[in-house]
This record gives sequence, structure tokens and C-alpha cells, in this order.
Amino acid sequence: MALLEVTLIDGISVGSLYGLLGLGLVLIYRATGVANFAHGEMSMISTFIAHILLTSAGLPLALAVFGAIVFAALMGICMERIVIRPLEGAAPWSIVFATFGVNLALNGTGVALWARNQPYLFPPVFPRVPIHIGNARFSSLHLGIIGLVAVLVVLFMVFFRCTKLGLAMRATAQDKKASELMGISVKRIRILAWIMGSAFGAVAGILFAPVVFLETTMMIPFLMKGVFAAFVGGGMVNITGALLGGVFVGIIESFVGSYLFTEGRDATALIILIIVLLIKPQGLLGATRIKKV
Amino acid sequence: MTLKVHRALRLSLLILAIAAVGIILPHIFTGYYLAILNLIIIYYIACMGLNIASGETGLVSLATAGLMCVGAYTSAIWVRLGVPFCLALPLAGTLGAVVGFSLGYPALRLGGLSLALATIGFTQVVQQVAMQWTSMTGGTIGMTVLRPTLVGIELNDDRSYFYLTFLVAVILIVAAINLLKGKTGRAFRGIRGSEVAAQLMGIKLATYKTMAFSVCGFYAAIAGSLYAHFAGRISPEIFGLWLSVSFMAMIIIGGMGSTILGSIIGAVFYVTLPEAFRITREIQAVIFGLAVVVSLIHMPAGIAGALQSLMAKLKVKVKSLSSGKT
Repeated sequence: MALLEVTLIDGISVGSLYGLLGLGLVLIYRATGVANFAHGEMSMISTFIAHILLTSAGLPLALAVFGAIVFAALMGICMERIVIRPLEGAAPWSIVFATFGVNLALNGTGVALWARNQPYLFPPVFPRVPIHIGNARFSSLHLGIIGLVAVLVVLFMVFFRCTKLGLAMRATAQDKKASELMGISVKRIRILAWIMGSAFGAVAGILFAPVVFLETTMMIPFLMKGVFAAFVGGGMVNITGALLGGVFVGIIESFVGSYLFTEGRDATALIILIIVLLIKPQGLLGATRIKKV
Repeated sequence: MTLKVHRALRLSLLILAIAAVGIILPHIFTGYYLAILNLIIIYYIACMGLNIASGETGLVSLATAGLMCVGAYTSAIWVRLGVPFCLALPLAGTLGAVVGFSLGYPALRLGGLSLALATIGFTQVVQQVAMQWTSMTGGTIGMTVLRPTLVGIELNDDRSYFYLTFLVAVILIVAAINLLKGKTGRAFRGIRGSEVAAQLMGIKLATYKTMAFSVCGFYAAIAGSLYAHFAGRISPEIFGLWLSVSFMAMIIIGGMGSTILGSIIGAVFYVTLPEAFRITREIQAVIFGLAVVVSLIHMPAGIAGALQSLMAKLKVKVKSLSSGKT
């Protein structure tokens, strides 16, 4: 009986991180129309920055995490200014591949700098003490992740739904021209989206690193599942969809891993992704988009 | 009549020239350089296939590594089971075409981003299958592949292997030129320009999209088979997402939509870059990634496109100069 609950909590916690990564992707996609395939590597680099601040610079955990988030935000700004803006108006695939190019470059940088001594042990943000509920034993790491992600998401939703800036972001996503006419600086909103998206990516990476090991390769499957979450959940535009999609894939993976076969974890998520793409390309929670000709 | 003779003469001269290049090249490049030359040709073949699907038809695909993996393992396993290589190579290509066809089917419903995602998924799934199907593929450890024997001749050194890859490449280049010159090529480019317009002109999207993917699969699987027997050892990790991204990057840098010229430029760039500067793989990835971004921003048609526009400019200049004199 305990296995069931632990598997469920495992799935939800890792899944909520997929969701967080997916949330960043959706934010950027909605504001700028860019599917950022460099998201995972940006998150990896930020996590390494946190690790360096923590171990080499000896900063306390909170400061190190803050530093990494600032770094991620700067990376997001650079990405927007240097790579994306010059490509405005180019074919969508070329922007996608520009982000792939950045992905290659960042991954190469990460491997060149840090691969020699990996895997690193990243200190968990929460102490690893077992918590007993009923007759099941949960790790506080997983429960902590769920709690923190929930708090982050609630904060973000409040910002997104109740503040003027959030309204401006939503308006920009809906209609760029109209928002510009209403006095919203679309350029600033875009940069804001990149900053927030990258910051969410960094947080996801920092929370994810203690679950696995901190490695330069950790982000490829992680990113794929973030993309999966964003896409399967809400067709890349629905924020709640992205979060639910992440939790969904986390749970499925966790159950396949503990009950069926461990090796099938990664493949299962991908097969579901392909099936959903084939049957409902706009995502499970996405609205049908009507293409006008 | 004279025209026909003229054409036949030109054709035979061209064939002679190509044959001469094929025979001379492995005498100029020897040893290590010959291995690099082999690798360039193998990548070139896969690039051509990808360029037909992505550059000409506009179907973004990250399935190349997966298709190559299919070709590599098919050919390696069949040769191990005793099928002669001269059968295994085309069979691997055919299987690649079939897989490509079934991959082209989702392309009918998906476009752009979703297609890229679906093809990424495909590559990852193929890689997982190669990893888990241990009895056939040797799992993550990989499998040893023997150099093939072709009609009694053992191709056990790089030079004789070069003759094989060169011959295959020439055949595939001719096939690509013929395919793209005619009705099919026009249909491909029509779809790239505008799917709706192409459909209105009576181009069957289903037929041509699946065809583009089949051709892509065929070329990639042939390249995979040639790679397997050349490298002597294959393992699933080679055929990961990175390889797919690299192929896409090669044709972006070389020239999207320039199947013959752009593909070779991209392959040469990719293979020789780490060799020329003696840099590690990581630095190569950094340079390569940045090159993709720079070329997308500053040369959207790749090096081939930049060269072509340069040539056109020169022509205009020469013309204006000569007309100015008279």
C-alpha cells in the first residue's frame, strides 16, 4: 500500500517541476511566439551557477539561489536582445533552430567547464528527513518540492490575474497590435516574459538537481518533459494546462517506473506525446484553433 | 541529331570527370584524411535527404538521427545474419523509406513546432528501442560491425571503402537532381511556399509530404548503413537528439533548400571544424551553435546562398563594366 502512495508523491513532485519548466516555456511562447529549446540548458547553467556560489563562494543557500535566478534573468534578457529580436519576422522554424543553436552552445560551454568532475551532489533545498503519514514514509524533499512549487504558482497566478502588469502580459499574448495601441510596451513585456520564464527554469533546475545528480546531461530528458508538459497540457498556450500536463507526465512516469519496468520511463512520456500530437495537436486542454485561409 | 551527339558527348565527359575525381581523391588524401573524407560523404548523404524534406519541402525534421539509427542497425544485423552487403544496403535504405513514410503521415496534420516535436519524439523512441532490445542490438554497449564484402572484394581499408561511399553518393546526387528538377521538385517547393496555394494548384499534399519524408528516410538510412560499416562499431548513444540537431544545423549553415551544394558545405564544415583547429568536442559544439545563430540572422540562405548572391553581384558588375567600356 505504501508503494502506491510513495509512487504517487514521487510522480507529483517531479511532475510539478516539469510543470514549472513548462510554465516558463509557455510564458515565453505566449509573449513572443518563440518555443525556447534552449530553456533546459539555460536552466542547467543557472543550476551550476547556484552550485558554484554555494560551494566555491560559500554563500548561504538562499543567496546562492537568488544569485542563480538573477543570472538566469540576465541570460533571458541576452537571449531576447541578441538572438530573438534580430530574427523578428523570420520563418518560425528558423527561430526554433536559433534556440537550438543556443542550446548547443550552452551545452558545450557547460560540458567544457564542468563535465570533468561530474556528477555533483547538489545539496537539497529541504533537509532529507523522512516524514511518516499513515504507514507510508515520504521524503521531505518531495513534499517540499510540491509545496514550494504550489506557493510559486499561486504567487504567479495572483500576479498574472490581479496586477496591471499581469493584465498587460495577457493582453500582449492575445493581440500585440491592440495592446501596443493601448499604451503597453510590447518590447518590455517580451523582456519581462523572458526574465520570468528563465527564472522559473532556474528554480526548476535547482529543485530538480537534488532529485537526480547535477550533471551537464541532466537537462535533455528534463527539457523534453517540460516541453511535453507545455504541449500536451495546453498546446503551448495554456498555463494551467502546462502545470497539469507536467504533473500528469510525472505520475505516469513514476507508475511505469515502479510497477512496469524502469527502463520504460523516458519512452512512455514520449510515446504519449506523439499520440497526443496525432490525436489532439492543440493539447489536451487547449482550445481548437481554427485556421483561416 | 547533332544535338543528341553533343549531349551524349557532354554526358560522357561529365561521367569521366566524376570518375577521375573519384579515383584521384583517395590518392591525394591518405590515411587519416581519407577517413575524414569518408565521414564527410556519409554525412553529405544524410544532409541531402534532410535538405529535400526540410529545405525543399519545408518540413522541419529532427528525425534524421533516428532514421540513420534504423539504417545502421538494420544493415549491421542483416550482414551479421549472413545477408550479403550489396543487398543489405538497399534493404536498409528501403526500410528507412518505409519508416520515413510512416513518419510523414503525422506530418500531414502537424506543422512547424509540433512536427519538430513529433520527430524529436521519434528519434528518442528509436534510440530507446536500440538500447532496450539487447538481444538484437547489444543494448547500450553497442555492437561490432564488420567491413563489408562487395561482390567478392573485401572493403577492408579506407580507400576501397571510399570508392563505395563515393559511388553511392554520386548515384544519390543524380537521383536527387532528377527528383528535384521535375514535377516532384516543383511540387515540393510549392508546398514550402504555401500549402494552401499548392493545394489549389492541384498538388496532393498527402502524396508529396509523405514522399519527401520517404526520400529523407531512404537517404538517412543509407547514410546510417554506410556509417555503421565504416565506423566498425555502433551504439545507440551515437544516434541521439544531438545528431539530429547537428544535421539540421549543417543544412542551415550550408544552405537550406540548396540540396546538392548547401549539403556538402554543411557536412564539410561540421566534419572538418574540429579537425582543422584541433579543438575538443565541447568547443566545437559552442562554435557550431553560434554559427547556426549567426548564419540564421545574417545569412538565412546559408553559405551556399551567400555564395550564389555574391556570384550574381559579380556577374552584374562584370556586365556593367563591359557595357560601360563599349
